[in-house]
Amino acid sequence: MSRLTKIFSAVLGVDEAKIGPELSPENTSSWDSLNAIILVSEVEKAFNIEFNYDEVMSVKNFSDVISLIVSKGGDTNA
Amino acid sequence: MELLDYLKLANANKGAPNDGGKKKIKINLITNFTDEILQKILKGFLLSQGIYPEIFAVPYKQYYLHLKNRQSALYQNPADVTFILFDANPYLKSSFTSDEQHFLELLTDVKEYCLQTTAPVIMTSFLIPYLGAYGNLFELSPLFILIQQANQKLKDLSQEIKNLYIFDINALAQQQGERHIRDFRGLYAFDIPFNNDFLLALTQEWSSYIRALLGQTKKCIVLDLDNTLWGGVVGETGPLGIALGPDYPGLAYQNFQHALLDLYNRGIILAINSKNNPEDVSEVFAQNPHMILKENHFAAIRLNWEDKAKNMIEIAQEINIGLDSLVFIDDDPVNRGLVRSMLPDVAVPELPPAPEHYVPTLYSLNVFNQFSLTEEDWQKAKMYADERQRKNILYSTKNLKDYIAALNIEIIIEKNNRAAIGRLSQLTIKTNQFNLTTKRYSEKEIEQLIDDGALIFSGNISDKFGDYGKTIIAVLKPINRDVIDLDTFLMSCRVMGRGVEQKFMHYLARELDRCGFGQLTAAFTPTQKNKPAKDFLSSLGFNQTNQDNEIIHYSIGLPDLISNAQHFSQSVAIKEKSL
Repeated sequence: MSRLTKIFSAVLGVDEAKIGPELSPENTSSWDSLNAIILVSEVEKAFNIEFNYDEVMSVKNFSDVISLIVSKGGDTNA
Repeated sequence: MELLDYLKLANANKGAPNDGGKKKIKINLITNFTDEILQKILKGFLLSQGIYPEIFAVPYKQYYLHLKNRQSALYQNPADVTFILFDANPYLKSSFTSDEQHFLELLTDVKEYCLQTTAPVIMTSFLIPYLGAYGNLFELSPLFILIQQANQKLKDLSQEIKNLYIFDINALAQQQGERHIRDFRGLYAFDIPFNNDFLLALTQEWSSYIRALLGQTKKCIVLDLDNTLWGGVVGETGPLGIALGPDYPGLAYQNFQHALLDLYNRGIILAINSKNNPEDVSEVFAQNPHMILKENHFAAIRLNWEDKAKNMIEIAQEINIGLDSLVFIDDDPVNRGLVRSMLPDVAVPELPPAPEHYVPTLYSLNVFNQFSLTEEDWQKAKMYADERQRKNILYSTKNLKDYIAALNIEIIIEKNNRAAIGRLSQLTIKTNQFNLTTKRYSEKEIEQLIDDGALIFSGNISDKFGDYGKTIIAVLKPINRDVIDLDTFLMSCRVMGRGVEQKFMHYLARELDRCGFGQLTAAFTPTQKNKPAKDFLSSLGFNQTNQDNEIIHYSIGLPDLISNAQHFSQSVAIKEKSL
């Protein structure tokens, strides 16, 4: 999970320890639309995968991101 | 550091202007797309450089209104620097892709904006579309033609407007690869046409303008020798045994020297900091035919077994520039680490172990950027290198007189040279230290002086090591048939202390005497900076006549002046240039 945690921590300005499955735009004020766009592109780049627009919009929390990466064949443990 | 680190920095500093010791810069940003990510990356990157930015970005899609209205927030927010980036995106139909009139109007607005500020405005050129309906015939594409024309107009405008500079986005796109800079989902979903990596690359380029603005441009490269300028250790292999020259790896080292010479030729100062015996290195310079850099390219040389940080300090002192103007290049990570930890102001780039990566590393440093290059900049590195050789003579001669004699100084004199009024005016405007009256004259005023009968003498000064250019002037205004007044007498400080000013005065006295004048009047007007010229007139036997306010007036008979100036600096040669 380290690579993904690192991205979320840097982009959202949140301590790595605080990043867990329940992290979401609702409970994290810095997870706004601007940072959401940065998150998507940085995750795509890091895992060499591509999301489509609807997938991006369906994300509700951190665990959705993990499932999405895994469904694309990305290794979130790397 | 990479993108995520910069984003992290931008987040950490959110809203907290913790500017203790940091340099502040106010930036205006004008774009035609959603630029919040660009702002964030720009902020994070500048923070990583120790620069605290305050960015005002024109709100989304409002650039038009803001540029047109002098009451707009943009106009009301004076910045230290403005960046303008209009993306004429071939993948999105807009007035940028179809309307020549739009470009003309936009450039007119930009011009208006530039004229109301003295701060630099850096406008990004338009990205040239090579892909599209016309394929290999892209030059026939109306869009291609439109963009080319827009770029030409921008170029014309930048030549007209002094504070408008062009940032060439096409050079950057070529470096990154045009295929790797776009974000198509970003373009159509959020109006963000570029991916984050390109925005970072753009930010890094823009930041070099900001560093130049803050005086943080590097001026000097300090080089190690063994395994840096050549392969191998000269102390072991001898001057001809080092790897340098037509085969690998010598070819890589030789081209690293070529790249350094190119930097030298654009005004970057070079110096040596190496653990070596001076004799071994002298032999390389004297004997190895593959050396591109010669000893006379270096402004300071430290060949010893001292620690390199100590040498760096001495080099900075000798050249008389700050440690923060130095870049240190050394293949040895221990030396790099030492200098980095002891002298954090010195830039110490990582050097990859293989010499074939040296040139790309040098090119990617991106720390020498300036807004423009003046004639002086071209000469600068050579002047500093020449100065080292002059000092060598000073150390090896017993007194100043011998030193001056050994320099073989020559002054070539011109009179009323209208072709040089640009330089003459510039000297009156820029010279502060050795300047008796500090009168500033525009080019037009210089012309007028000559028309009104003044005599303007100027001297081109050179010595055995190089040319200083036109660096001394006298303006003389006849009062009557017997008396002439020294209205202006000034000399650039880089030729001070060589007996040039006395010799020039001696020439003037003889020349005026020959023209039939008998008496020379002069004055010294003190300023904050012209103390070096204070005693010049009295040292030549001028008599003080009176003083009004702070201005001290002098007078001397020309025969006296000729004889007084005679014994100064006899070794300086004078030549007249016939016009």
